[in-house]
Amino acid sequence: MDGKELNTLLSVVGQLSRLAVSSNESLAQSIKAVFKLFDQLDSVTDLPEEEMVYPTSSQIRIQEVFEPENIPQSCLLDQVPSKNGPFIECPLIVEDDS
Amino acid sequence: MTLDLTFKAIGEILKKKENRLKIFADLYANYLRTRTTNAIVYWNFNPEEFENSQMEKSGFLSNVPVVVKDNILTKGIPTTAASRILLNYVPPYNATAVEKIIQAGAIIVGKSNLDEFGMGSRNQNSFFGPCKNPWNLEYVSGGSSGGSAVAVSCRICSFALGSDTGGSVRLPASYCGCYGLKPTYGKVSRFGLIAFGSSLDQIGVMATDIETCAKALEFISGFDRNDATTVQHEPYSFEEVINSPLPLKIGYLDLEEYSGSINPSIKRVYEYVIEFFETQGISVVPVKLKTIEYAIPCYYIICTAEAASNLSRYDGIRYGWNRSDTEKHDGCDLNEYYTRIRTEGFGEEVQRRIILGNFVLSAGYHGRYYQKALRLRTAIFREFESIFEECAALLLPTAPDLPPKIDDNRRDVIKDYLMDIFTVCANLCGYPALSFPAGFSDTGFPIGIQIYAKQFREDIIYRLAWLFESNHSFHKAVPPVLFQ
Repeated sequence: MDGKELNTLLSVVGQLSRLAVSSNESLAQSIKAVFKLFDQLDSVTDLPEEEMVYPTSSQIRIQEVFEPENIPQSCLLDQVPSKNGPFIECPLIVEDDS
Repeated sequence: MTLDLTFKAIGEILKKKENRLKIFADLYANYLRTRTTNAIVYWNFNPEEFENSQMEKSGFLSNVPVVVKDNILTKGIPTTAASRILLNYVPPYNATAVEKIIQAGAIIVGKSNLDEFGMGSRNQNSFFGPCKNPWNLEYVSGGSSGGSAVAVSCRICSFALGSDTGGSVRLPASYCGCYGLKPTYGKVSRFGLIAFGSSLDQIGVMATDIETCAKALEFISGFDRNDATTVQHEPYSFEEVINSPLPLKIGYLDLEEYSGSINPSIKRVYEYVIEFFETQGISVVPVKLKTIEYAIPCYYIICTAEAASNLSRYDGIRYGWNRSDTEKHDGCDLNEYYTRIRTEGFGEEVQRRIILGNFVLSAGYHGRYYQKALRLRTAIFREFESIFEECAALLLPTAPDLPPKIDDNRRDVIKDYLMDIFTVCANLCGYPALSFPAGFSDTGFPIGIQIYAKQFREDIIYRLAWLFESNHSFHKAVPPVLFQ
């Protein structure tokens, strides 16, 4: 990714993040430096297919809890995390629907 | 003042009112004496009120003074995560860990300084200003739980609660000369901990001795219906653990590949610790970790992705800080208002991480960064698991270098991120890890060494730490700021 492309992306992501990035040059520069660190992963090969979202013991439980049939109506469905992604913490104020 | 606030020292003493008043007067004096460190952002204890209230509390932690990191919710006590965006926020409920200790009779004497939302390894990214190292006020305390580490080292409390997303309990514990314990992911409820990286965050405990640290941690642990990631696990009895047999074999990270980047004092202390465990009849074998080289980019991709999502809730409308200066917002639409509030409300490090997180999750880059990091996380976990098939525990330095000087003009973000190299793997893999005081540098700073163990094997960590503590007195050293 060249500097121009990165600048454009930073501007777009800044808007998505609801942050005024373009007015802060040192922030933009440091973000570029961090991406050089992230790009070290380009050289990594032979990775396992499995993606670890949670450390194992909890991952099993999370998947059980968030199976659709286990989600109580009282839980805010639009905040339930997907299995694959980061998420907004669900407060899980679970009430007994029975 | 060399006040001893360990469970062992105060257990019986606190039962008598006159002793209690003396101890709380002394810890209050310590607080006043060490205010230059900027460790406490909200002091919640009034000695006169305490004396008049004649508090008689019962419970496991009856009248035990505790400091809580300011990103852990405390009902009726301001909780800001050291961010302008949460300025004046007063939570309507307690975090589960806080509720447990209050129910057991503990007294929350103060809320401690931190890097904003726990993002940093120096405790310099705080809206309240940097937290200073009590061993030398020109240096950082370490972060992000710097205030908790300083409060423990300065004998302001028996133990402190911190949070650890990538080493935030262990790094300041190492810099300030106390114990810092991050439990297994899922052992302690995160309900009421202001979220930063949800798959990495854990509430941890800091104390001046392993007994207090372990007992406090075991007490706050357990399943919580408000946190779906908690796991029911029988708490360990400290007395049983320290009388159990020693592990036969432990590993230590071979530092050959890092020789140029490890501070000589840390290397010296690390080698001493290895030798000590060998002399105790434990087989201590060198271990190489191929994947640790990529642990930092892996960790920062995951934690920024989760932070971007978690921090999207702060918009200056529902709670926390907002702009009542309507003139400046005349005519701006809702999106512009959000942008202004968030740009003014978040510090630079938080903004950086939100943007990085949204970037690595964006279409076109999701597979290259975020998904790859999740797969690498699996690879790191598998490599550690293979080590734990042979070794009961693993020794590592806590930090590669001594505390840096407080420098307001610093902007070397990468150098800061690399300070987490030996701590982030415990968070990525969900392992328990302890930093214990193991020596001093040539320049007089405490040095901590880490013990990692398999998930839910805190008992092995307690056993090894107890063995070391029983033969040394580094944990009893008191920082010079108390005598200034």
